[in-house]
Amino acid sequence: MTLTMVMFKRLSVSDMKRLSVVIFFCAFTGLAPVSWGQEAEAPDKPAEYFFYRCAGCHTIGGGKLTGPDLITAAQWSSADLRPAIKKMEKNVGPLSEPDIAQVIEFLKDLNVSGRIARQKQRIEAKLRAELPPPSFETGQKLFSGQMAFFNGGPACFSCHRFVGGGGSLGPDLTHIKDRASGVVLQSAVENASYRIMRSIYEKHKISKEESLHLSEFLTHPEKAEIRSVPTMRKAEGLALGGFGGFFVLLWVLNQRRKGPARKNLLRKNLER
Amino acid sequence: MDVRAQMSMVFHLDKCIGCHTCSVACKNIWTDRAGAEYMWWNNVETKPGTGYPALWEDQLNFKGGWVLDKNRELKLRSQDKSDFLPKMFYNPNQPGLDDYYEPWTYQYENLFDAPRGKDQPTAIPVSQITGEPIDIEAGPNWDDDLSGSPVYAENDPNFKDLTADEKKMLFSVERISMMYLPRICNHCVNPSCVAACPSGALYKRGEDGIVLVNQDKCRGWRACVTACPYKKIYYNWKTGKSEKCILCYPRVETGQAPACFHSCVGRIRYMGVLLYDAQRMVEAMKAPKEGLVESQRSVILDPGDPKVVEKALENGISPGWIESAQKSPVWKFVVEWEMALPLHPEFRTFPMLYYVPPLLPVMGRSESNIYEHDVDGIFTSIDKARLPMKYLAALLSAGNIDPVRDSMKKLLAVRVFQRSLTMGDIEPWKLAKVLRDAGLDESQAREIYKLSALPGPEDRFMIPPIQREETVEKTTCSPDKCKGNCGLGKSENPERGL
Repeated sequence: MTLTMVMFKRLSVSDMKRLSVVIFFCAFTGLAPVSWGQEAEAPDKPAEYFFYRCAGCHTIGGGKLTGPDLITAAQWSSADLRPAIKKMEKNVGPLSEPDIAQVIEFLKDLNVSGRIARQKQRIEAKLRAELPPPSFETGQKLFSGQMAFFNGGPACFSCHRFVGGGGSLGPDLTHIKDRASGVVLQSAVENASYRIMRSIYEKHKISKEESLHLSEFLTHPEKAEIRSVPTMRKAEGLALGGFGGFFVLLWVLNQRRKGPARKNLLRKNLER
Repeated sequence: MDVRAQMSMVFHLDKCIGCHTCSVACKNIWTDRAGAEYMWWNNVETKPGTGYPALWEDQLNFKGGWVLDKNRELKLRSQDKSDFLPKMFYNPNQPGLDDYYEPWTYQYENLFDAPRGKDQPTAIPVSQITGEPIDIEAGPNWDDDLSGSPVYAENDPNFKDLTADEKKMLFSVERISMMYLPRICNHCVNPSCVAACPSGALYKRGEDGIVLVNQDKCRGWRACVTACPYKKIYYNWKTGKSEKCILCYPRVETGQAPACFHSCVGRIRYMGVLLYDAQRMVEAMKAPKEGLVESQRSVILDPGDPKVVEKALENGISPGWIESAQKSPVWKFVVEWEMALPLHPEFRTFPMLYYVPPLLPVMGRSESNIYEHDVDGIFTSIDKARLPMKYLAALLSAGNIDPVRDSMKKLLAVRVFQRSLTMGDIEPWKLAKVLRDAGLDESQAREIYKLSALPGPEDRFMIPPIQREETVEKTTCSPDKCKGNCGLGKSENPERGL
């Protein structure tokens, strides 16, 4: 499992420029699979902080999200990192000196991947304890619009395709589990911090609970049964049928129309 | 009493020779345009016949005019409140090209431009719609002079009251007869076309009662085409608007008779003002079918009555108009002598064009090859007429024979009276009896003769001063403000169609 997220191709260059840490790391680092059943450990404060403030946009070794992959930050000097992190204040709010130091320490830790994995497990365990267990059925209903989002956001399938059905405006999510799963997928859904989704869900936040259901649903494409919305072909069929029906109606009405008076007279005379 | 003035007309059918000069005069002035080729604002029909468009009198087919509903209220036959909206888009009773005819012209240029060949070049007929050569199957006078009578004349809707024997007699060789019926818009007092228009484009002009289509407002729904029982509104396929006879109002406003009146060879047409009581009009139109001629006459007011004159002046009718109404030949024919009858009053539109029934086919009947001119049997000859009284009654008095017979009697009595003057072979007591039976005195007979046989244009056309400029001043703007206007309102160049 990787931390790579599905990105909209339209993520603009200016977005990337705004962030001062622009280093690309091409190799994907595999992380140990996370299972639901592990015991929580002692809290890792910097990792927690990273997840709370940075993980929405950045990964470490997980590839580019809204912000760049921070795996290469380990090679930066603290003097360079500090102003770069400070610049993020405009995105995440005030960053105090100890906070920044904490982040630098975390980024420069050579064991950072392990700490991230453990932190993920901790978060997932915590979520599991706090919230009802994720339900595939509820997720399916939320995705397909059979159940409304609590805050009234539009159903996923109005833009996204999953297995057999859905819209074609956003990316196809059938294979999303190969690219993200668990808490990553859940947080991606919850934060919806993609260029287009952000504007749509800004005022209609997807709740944590809903995002859990959805990520459960999205990781099991083999079970999904999405009722397909009318495709263009069907719409054409309907239009054609309606058009045909209109002419049938015209024909029926035309039976009531008076005949051509003069021609009827001629015919009557010929029949005589 | 709500006195209104109306330019009204009388056509003296006894004098019509069916020459179609009126139709041609009208055509050349008004409908000689693309989109209007098939329009005949004035046409002359041969009766018996099916007319133009074919079978226009058959309202079971065309659904024109008014009918009385269950509560004896007037109601349009073509539409009501519930179905006028769908009928704007789909009206099954509208006449189509089949009911009129496909207009055509001839390829005259072929006569000059044809390449050298073995045969003489010909001018073949081509459709004015498609431009392709056509087989002419129908025209505006296809049943003229009883042509195709087995198809057309025998199917005249006015024969519905006749028995099979009567019909057979009528069409037997050497008995067959015909008459002509020139028709223009009747400029009805109770026009069903105006009532049916969804756009409010049709209106009856206040000062003279001429019914007009406002070409700016018309949206081409054609509800009027269906609603007019006389089928005198035509749809112009080029402009997408409906058009009708305008009674040549630009001519009338300048004191000239309309073109068809002016050009009439037989001088059958009379024009003059009638005053009527608009208040009593609706009640009068609710009368039983047989009484419609009487009730229609009762609404027309006597212009000599001082009370009527006073009320007319109150309503803004100018003294010039009232004077003209007092001299109107129409008043004399319609009310004073009760000789002129409305065409199909049973459509309940109160037509303001009246017809003096034709005497000739009646008189032409021969017994044992001798024409009947005996004074004793003179009125019985009316009932034994070649063209049955029932037929004329179906045409001119909603099936009631009495008004037609009364009118015929007067025509005959005048004839006898004139014979007594010129030949002197009729005994005075016999003449007196004939006149009494017809309800005339000698002076009236003389006057009828004068107005029927010897009228000059000033007798036939009593056109009042319309004083359009005063109306313009009152209603729209004063001439000094609207300098450069024609006085008929704003002048606009037509966008299309001309």
